Amino acid sequence: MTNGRGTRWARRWVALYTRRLPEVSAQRRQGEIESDIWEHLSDTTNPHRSQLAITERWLRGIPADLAWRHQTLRQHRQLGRRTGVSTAIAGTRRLAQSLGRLVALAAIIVGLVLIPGIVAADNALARVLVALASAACVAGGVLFLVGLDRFAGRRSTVYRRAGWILFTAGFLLPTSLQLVLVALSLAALLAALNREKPTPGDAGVDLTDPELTPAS
Amino acid sequence: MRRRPGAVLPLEQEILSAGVGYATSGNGEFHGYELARLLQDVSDARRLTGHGTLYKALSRMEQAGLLDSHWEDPQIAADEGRPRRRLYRVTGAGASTLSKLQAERAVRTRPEQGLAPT
Repeated sequence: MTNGRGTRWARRWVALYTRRLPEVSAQRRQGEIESDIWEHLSDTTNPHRSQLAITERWLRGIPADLAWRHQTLRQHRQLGRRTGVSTAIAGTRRLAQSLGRLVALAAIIVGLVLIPGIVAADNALARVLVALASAACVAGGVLFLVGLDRFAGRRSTVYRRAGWILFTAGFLLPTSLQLVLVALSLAALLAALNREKPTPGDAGVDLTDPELTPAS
Repeated sequence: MRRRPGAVLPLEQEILSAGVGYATSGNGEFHGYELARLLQDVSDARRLTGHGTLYKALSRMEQAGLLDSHWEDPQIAADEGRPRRRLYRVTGAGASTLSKLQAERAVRTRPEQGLAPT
């Protein structure tokens, strides 16, 4: 097969205008032109004339080649933008779900770890507080996990709403109980401090002692 | 100038016409250079269609669903010692589009028929 000047120019041009295009589009166009040139050359008995014809076809097709490149790039960018955005959203969602599951599992574990503390607590109030904290962590974690799963996995509006409720309850239950527990603990602490505050009578000073009583 | 969606250019109509004509005589599939020769014969042109013009039209027609294409079996090309061909064929939508265009053209070229008194 003759590899004349026209053929070389046509090939170089194809390589040039398919640069930085999506691989599929570029390879397809290069393959088509390569096949076309080969068929053209094998279809003629005059190689010189066929080189001229190929050069002519190449030159006449340049505006259409440039328009095709522009169109292909535009389509590719539009597709890439859409795919990129949806991929980014999906990636963020997956990351948030993984983090949510980790937090929920951690809450459940903390709740389970607190169970022996219910028995070990030395007074009734402490037992109640530890039991509440344990139940809040376990229930909150389970609700959060179920809600997250329902919320993320379903497209149905009913399921999504139910998921949202569970998800929010799972988040709010331990948080609100935590606040209640903190408030109760602070109240207990303040009460204990007030109770243990030394008064003049507690100091063991007998105010009726005649030695301490000023002489009249 | 932006093209009207669904508009078929004269070259595309020629491609459809050549493709449908080829389908009735052969296996229905044709490659780029073969089509360029067909178009030259049909339009009695002196030159073959430019590379860019031809393949851009084919690409657009495929996107519009008028044509269908695939690469031929690499073994066939290897056995014959040539590059692989991209084979095209006119789809059902392409054939019906051509029929519609031909019918419209027939009406346009004979407007007096049906209006003239018998």
